[in-house]
Amino acid sequence: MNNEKLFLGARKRVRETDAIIIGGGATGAGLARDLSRRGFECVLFERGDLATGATGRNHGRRHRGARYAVTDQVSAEECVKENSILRKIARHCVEETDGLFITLPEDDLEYQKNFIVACRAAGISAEALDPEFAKRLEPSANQTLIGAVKVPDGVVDPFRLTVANMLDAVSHGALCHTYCEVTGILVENAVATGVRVRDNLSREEYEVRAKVVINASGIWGGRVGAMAGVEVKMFPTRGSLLILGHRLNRLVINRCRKPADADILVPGDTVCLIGTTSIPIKFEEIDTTVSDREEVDILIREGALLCPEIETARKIRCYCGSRPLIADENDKTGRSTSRHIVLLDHETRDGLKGFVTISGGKLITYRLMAEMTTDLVCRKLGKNVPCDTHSVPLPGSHEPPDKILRKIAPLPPTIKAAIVHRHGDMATDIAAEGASATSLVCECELVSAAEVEHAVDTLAVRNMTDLRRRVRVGMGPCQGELCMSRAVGILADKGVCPPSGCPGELASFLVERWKGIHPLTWGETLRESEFIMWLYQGVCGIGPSDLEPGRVPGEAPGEAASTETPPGAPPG
Amino acid sequence: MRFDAVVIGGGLAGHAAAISLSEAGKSCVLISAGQSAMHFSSGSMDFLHTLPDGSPVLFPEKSLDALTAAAPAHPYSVAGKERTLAMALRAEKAFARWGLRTEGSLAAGNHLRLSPMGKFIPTWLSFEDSVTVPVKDGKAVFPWKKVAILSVRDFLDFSPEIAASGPRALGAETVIVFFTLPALETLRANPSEFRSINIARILDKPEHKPRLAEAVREAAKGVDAVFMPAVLCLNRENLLDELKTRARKPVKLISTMTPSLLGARLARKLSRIFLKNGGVLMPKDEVLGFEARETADGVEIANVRTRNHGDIAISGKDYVLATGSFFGRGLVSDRNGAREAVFDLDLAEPPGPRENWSSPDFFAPQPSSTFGVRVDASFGTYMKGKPVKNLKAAGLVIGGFDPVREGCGAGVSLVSALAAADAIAKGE
Repeated sequence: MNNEKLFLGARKRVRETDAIIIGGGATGAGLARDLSRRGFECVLFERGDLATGATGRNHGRRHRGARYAVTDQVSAEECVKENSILRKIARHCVEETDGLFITLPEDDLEYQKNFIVACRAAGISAEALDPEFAKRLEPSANQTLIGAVKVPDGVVDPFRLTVANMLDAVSHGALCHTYCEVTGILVENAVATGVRVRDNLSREEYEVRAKVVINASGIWGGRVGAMAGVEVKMFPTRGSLLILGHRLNRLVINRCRKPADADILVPGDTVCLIGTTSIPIKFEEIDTTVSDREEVDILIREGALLCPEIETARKIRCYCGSRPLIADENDKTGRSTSRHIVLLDHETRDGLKGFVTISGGKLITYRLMAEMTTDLVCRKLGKNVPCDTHSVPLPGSHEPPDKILRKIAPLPPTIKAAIVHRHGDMATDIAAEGASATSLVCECELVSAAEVEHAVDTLAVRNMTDLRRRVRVGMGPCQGELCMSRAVGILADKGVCPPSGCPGELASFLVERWKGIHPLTWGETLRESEFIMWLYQGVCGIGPSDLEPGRVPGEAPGEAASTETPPGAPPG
Repeated sequence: MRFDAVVIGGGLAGHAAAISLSEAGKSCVLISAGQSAMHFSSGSMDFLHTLPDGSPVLFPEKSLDALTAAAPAHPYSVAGKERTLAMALRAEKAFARWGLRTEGSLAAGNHLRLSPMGKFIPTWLSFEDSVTVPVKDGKAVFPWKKVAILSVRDFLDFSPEIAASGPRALGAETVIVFFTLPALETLRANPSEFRSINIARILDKPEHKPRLAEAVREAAKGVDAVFMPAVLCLNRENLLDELKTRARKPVKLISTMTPSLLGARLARKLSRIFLKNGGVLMPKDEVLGFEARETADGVEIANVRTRNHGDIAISGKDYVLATGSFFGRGLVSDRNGAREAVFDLDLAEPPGPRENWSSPDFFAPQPSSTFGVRVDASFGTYMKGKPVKNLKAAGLVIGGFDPVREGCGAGVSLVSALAAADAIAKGE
């Protein structure tokens, strides 16, 4: 397969289609891919950018099923199976790291025994290590550990994964409409016949008809369900994560105990992150919820038990997402909730034809969720085409990195490695000649001007925050100090925003970044934030008046102000 | 080692204090950790551009009473209007005496500088060779109808398009032109080296002057002035005069993103002036500890020890602490609190619990920005409630003000430094 010019940014409108997908997370993008590959026309609507919900925010990057082996055998088996598929179809989005489950003196070693048995039953090879050996294998792990189990583990980049799925979908005729918000479901005689959409960039509103409307909007599923008049009960819990300024660990380090707060430390790209917490929140808060200082303290305190260096390492940012769990009223912690895939056919459940909800699951099982949903669409629309998303590699993953590296014209080896790491075989689409190929925009993540230009040209970048998701500009240790001004210059040159709008772009980006920085303002993080303020507010003169009134463009436009009581809000 | 005065911190405040003390005939040592806020600055010096309530300031002199009413803990308020204005005037004169060619004065009110993001920002003193715009009757008066922005091709730390949006907003026409040189292409091939200071090292070389002058002359055709990013004239300040003569049009610099050439140039010049005055510079050194003794009416610093000088104590009759805020490491913090780094001096306000240090709104006042040490009217300091008889504070290590939002960082640095030096010289 070759990658002829793939392009995400088209905004071609249609009046009708086979299937409408609401939500541009991994599941929605995976669905667009599966549906389009099986010959369905489909349109995906996402109110903000791709991967802005739980996909990019909640346990962003990882993992194998071992974590669930003891508590949730079904999920563990699904994870194992999907993981081996991802290694084949999405290798440029996956990094194999292996994982270590450590037992500390205060933990029960019995759990480790059960854990190994459960892993093996789920098909996960789990190997108990001699504690002394484990300490040498992962020197960053708490050296008081009394037990350690090594399991195969990996890290997934959710942004790359979602974009790759969407690119494949688009090349098979799917339409990807980011910044288009579904504001209503058209229902006629107990049949969902389409959706009402508002283009959040142009503010135009229009309707699109479809044979099937699929609600793949994660935690927002309750709200979308309500638009169709059906009840989808979501139980939002906030999960916060903390990003540390460099890679402390080689292996994913987990605590070998029942899943709890801050018990997993995941390395990824140039940083690592510790997560997560689990705090039940009200449904009204899902658009606005942010990590608080108490959670930060929990993450640092518990994280330091996994890896003591967390206490002193520079914290660069914390962020949170809402797990898209379908509520289990019997459990209020959100922890023991089974995270099984939930596919609701509202025709059989509620008597509403043409409306389907897919929810639950995990990032790693996005493909299976898409396959199950597409199978249901096939049955509904009387089409019998087998799924092939488990065997056909995604754009970017057709060839192994060493082969791609040989194909790229002479570039400095570090830049070459970085673009292949981020784009796989699509790296060959990035200009390798001319000054932009070797001019660095982001020195932390080694992002060249050519890579930024490529993202702007082909990957539907509408603002600085989208760019961050595509190429990691501003995501590395410096959090954008140097690169945000360079990147915004390229956005202006490319016409994404007018030159006079650049201060506004930067203002939005700064506001968005600050949400994750301000709970961490002490020590080195405070120093860095002081520097950012000097530079951007002081030297550049960026101020609040640069923000477009009422909306932060770098954000998923939070038209969250739906005032009616949302369905699925937990009682009380 | 014994000196009359020991100045700790080599930023704008430390240098200004050290030079003033050396001018007053004091033997003076300046202990400097290295780069300072000057290297990340705009190159202009602001005095006050916004009051704490957000209202803009055109004439800082006239706004000092309002500032004192709104922010009694502000260093200008603590020093008092008279002393503040006297020291500001003294700074203006000192700059002229030191050969720093600046324009602007408190008497004339704030003028505007052009930021790399195309914003006009009120400020007090700017270098003559940078783009400035006067304010008349509260309005910016852009002096030219049509300007060319001549930038270095593929230089990412300055976007001529974005910078041009400023003059355009004031009704001027702009033309954007790029130039390059083989030597710049060679520099650019190393992806992380294409920065303002490195470019200046090339452009300042005499052998490149003909090509540079030609590019400026071409750009000047049909326009009233040529603007360039501040990537030249680091060591050869008269280079711009020469280009101006050739082009027969004004040629001016706009500050770029970091590092700041104008700021680095200022830092370098101040160091030279201090050394010329016979001062002792301890570069890349850091104070690690000190000895103090209690006196009847306070505390006295006996000596300090530095990293590079190990056991050899450095003692002075007087000390000036000009170590900066958090970024300069004059203040340090952890999850439990914040303190002054060298002497653990009393702070202007106790920092309180961490949840109150910052606001979730990026553009709202950030309380941590106002953290700093408590001073008296002549910038004397306190330790555990007792005055430190021979230690003054200068610059951003002082608490009670927000240098970025109020636009007063350079002003506070110069006023406090000169006031501290003045008090020491007079034996106050």
